[in-house]
Amino acid sequence: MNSRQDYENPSFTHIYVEKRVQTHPRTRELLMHFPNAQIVMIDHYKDVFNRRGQDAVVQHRSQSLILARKEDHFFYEGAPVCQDFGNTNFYYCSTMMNCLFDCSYCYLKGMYPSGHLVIFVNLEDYFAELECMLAQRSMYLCVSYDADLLAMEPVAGYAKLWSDFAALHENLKLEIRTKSARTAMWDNLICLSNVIYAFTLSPQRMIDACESGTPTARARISCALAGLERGFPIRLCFDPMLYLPTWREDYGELLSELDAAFTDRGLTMQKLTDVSVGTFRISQDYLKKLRRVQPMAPAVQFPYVNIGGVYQYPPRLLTEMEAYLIGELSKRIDKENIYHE
Amino acid sequence: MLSIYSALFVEAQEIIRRFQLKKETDHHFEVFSDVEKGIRIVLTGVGAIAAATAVAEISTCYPPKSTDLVCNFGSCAAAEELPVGNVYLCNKLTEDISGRTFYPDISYRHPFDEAELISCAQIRETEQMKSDGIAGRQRLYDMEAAAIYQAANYYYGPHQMIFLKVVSDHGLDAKQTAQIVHMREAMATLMKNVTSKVCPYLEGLCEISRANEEADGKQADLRREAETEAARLGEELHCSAVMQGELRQLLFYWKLTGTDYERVLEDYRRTCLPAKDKREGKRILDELKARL
Repeated sequence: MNSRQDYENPSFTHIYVEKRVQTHPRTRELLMHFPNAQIVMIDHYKDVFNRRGQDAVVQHRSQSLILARKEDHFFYEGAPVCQDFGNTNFYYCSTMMNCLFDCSYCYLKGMYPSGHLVIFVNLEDYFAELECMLAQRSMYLCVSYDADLLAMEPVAGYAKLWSDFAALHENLKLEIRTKSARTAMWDNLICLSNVIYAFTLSPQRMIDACESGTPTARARISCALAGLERGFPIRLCFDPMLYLPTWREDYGELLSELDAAFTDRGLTMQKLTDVSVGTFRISQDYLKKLRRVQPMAPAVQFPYVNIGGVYQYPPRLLTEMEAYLIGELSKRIDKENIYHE
Repeated sequence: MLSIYSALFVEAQEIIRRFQLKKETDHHFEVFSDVEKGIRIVLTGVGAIAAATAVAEISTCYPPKSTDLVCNFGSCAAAEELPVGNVYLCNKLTEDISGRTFYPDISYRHPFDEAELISCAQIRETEQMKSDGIAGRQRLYDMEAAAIYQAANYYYGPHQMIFLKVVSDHGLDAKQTAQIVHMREAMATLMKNVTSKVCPYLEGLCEISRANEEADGKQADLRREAETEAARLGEELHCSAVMQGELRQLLFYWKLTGTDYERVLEDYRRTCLPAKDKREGKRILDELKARL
């Protein structure tokens, strides 16, 4: 048998479109990026996304796109396992569900019934609701949790739209988290103090082992620093920190690579908005499903310990890993700008 | 294993001949298979109830694995713009009687055009097809696909289902409907003509299923080895059910990562295994976990 790529469809050969968003301008724009895709009209995205018996891992290998309208529950309060970086009124939202990248440990495979990627095209409804919320309080909003908006930016352009919205609302602070590394994106984004671009960094050995389809550590660092050079607020997230027997050496190499990149550009880590450190943790329900669909992924099959419904590394290892990285980062950036759980 | 469900022998006979399938006995339906090649064809008879019953019976006799695929292959009607003899892969199935719609994933590359299909309780007549036609949509009509999806979905996921249809007519008028039995020869010729396109595709599906099964087998072997080792070690440690679960996960992880744990266990066996009680066993298990 040849390789999987020879017989599996590549991503987005099929696009499911809700009939009610068929004429939405954003639907038309999105479809223009896929002139050869097979379009299948559907009544509701859940007719495809919530089907019985799906395998998110298999589907992810030939991912389809679903264009839909979000009807309600536009914003959710931040989950306890997520860092709020000292902000109050911490919310997140999902304008997309599922990710272009295929990280073996990703909680999305445990959370969603499908591996297909949903884009909600009615961003204007999110903005309208957010206007009402912002009239009452300032907010810290993470817009790229259940997807990677910047990875989809060439197709959807949502990071730019969020950034444009934030430009008009001083009491809104956005975080856009990504593993992407498309340096050209900085040309299209406005540099704002209230939009933080958060780059998830992993050692290359872990990227090779667990983060299929994502850019290299070097490319991510280079992209983050290109943004920093232009004055964009940049956050580096060493989260999730993953265990490999060589973790100390691997993170050491990552830090050396970072140091070299900062030095090359005449920058220091003090210029970063902040950094975050957090070892891998996941709710018990998600891990149960993840272990079923990713039986051969070491990061998923690690014998985690269940503490209060959340699986995490054994306390001794967790402390050792986080303390090491926090210690190393403290040599490079003020401790109050290092966040960890 | 690729399981193909077709309503009539005349639809399946070319595939049976091409793959040289042998007839099975002891079923309520006609079944032809070659287990070595990983292919089985089931003749369901016409209509939704027959099709669903066949899927249920055969899936109970041979419980499908997560690596298996199921295909509904047969003839269908279509509006006049879709030529007789064209083969279509269906990306959307609607059950006419309930209005419910089902979407099989199109995970694998294929050489066919795609279309949506409506499964009706009766043969669609030409005039009816004209009245429900929608411009720009490729619509097919059959009598089984939606039922096969619904029945198969108890055993297979949507990523394992394939619906392949050959246009045999553009709907029949009432007179032709009465004479349908005389169309057997025309159907046989039609199916023979599409064999060169359909059979290589089906062979490809068999290979995909086989490749998936091999990958799955490796994982199952590792899991089995870990289970066996955990059972032995669990006894030596006097594990409770919770400890046994932890031990199983630990050993599976070690196997997966190629950790050389056997030497460590040998050392323990030389010195302190079997443990004298559960408490001692817990202490040793904690030590093993700390070796991560």
